[in-house]
Amino acid sequence: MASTASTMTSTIPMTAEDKWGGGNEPMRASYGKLMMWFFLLSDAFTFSGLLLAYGALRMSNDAWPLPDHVFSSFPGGIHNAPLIFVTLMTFVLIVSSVTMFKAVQEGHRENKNGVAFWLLLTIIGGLTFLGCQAWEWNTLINKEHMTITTNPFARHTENGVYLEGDGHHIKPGDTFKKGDSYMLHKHNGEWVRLKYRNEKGEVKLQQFGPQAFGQLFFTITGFHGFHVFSGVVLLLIILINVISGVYVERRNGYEMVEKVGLYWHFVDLVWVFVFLCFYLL
Amino acid sequence: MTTLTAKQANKIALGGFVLLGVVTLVEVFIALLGKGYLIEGFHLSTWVMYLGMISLSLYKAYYIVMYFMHLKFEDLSLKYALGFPIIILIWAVIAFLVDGGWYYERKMSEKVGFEIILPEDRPNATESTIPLNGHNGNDSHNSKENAHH
Repeated sequence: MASTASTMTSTIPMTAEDKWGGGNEPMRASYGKLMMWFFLLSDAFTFSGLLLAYGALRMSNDAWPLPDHVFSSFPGGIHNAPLIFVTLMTFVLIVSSVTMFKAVQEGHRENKNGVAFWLLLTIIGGLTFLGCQAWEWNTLINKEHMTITTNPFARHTENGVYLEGDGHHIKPGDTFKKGDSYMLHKHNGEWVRLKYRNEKGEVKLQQFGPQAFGQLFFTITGFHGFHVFSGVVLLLIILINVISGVYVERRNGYEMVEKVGLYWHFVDLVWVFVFLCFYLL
Repeated sequence: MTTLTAKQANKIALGGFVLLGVVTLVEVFIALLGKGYLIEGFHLSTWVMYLGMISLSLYKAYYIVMYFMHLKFEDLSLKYALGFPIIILIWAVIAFLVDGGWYYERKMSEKVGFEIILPEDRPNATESTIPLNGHNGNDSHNSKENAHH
């Protein structure tokens, strides 16, 4: 049976010279698998950089919007469901990770149809996630008018009282405290920014939220979404190869499925941390 | 590299799904509870929330890498080759966050333990109180006053 075992057996005791002297696989993993692991390590550094930039910027700004205020809509016109949709997206990726694991296991048992079945389910999971992310972006961009330069979500940086209403929930005379969330709306294509008076007696206009919020959100979820998309493309290519029987004759069998599996699990892993930083914390 | 038996594999698949699902639900529960969405007016301290959710996420990451990505059953040298950079990455992230003002210059905290007031934010700040060349505003050799003549 073609297996992914190394060319050297592990029963013969090896000196360091034998092990690292060349001509075998010292980490008992093939070149392709090792390179995929090291690529994923470098990708982890990339996402860590982006997420820590998010952390540092977020903590520097009083007006930074609260994620449970921004992300509270759900398909079907539901509006007061904070973090529910994004939890669903997390579940979709978790399930796709499990199906990917099953595909790799079927590959070890050289079950061509099993591999194809579980790979197909993983692809469907990936596409579902991309669809959900696209819905989220569409809601933010087209319905709530958040872009990389305009951010209608913010929090008050001082206590005050509204001097005018917006026809939604706010009436003139409503008070607010520092840290209360608000969202700017557009009426007839024009931004409505309400006048308010702060405790010093100054009359001011509601500010837009920090631009960095939109910039970081779209950049980080865009990067992650692009990784999911390229993962789906890779999975499709490998699925076609599996169905065509390319891996039946190979000496390393279905190891390619395993390598793409590593990439797919990494995509899930990054989402765990993006979900944590952006939505939970 | 060891290959798993079918039974072991199914245990990881199903067990992993249940574990990751439950941990995710607990994380979301902590977030919603701590921000007052489940019990009206109830708030958890930021530290408790952060500690809870970060450690749960790290546990999810551990499970995905060790079991789904099979690292637990791989050679020890590969574990070291990947583990060590991750450890210093965690160090780097914490260092950059502290350097970027995530702890000492944070403004989002509700508790005012200590506040850093920049010179230009001080109540009686005028341009001359910002030391440009090492002299303070009371220095009679201040160039702004000299320009008066």
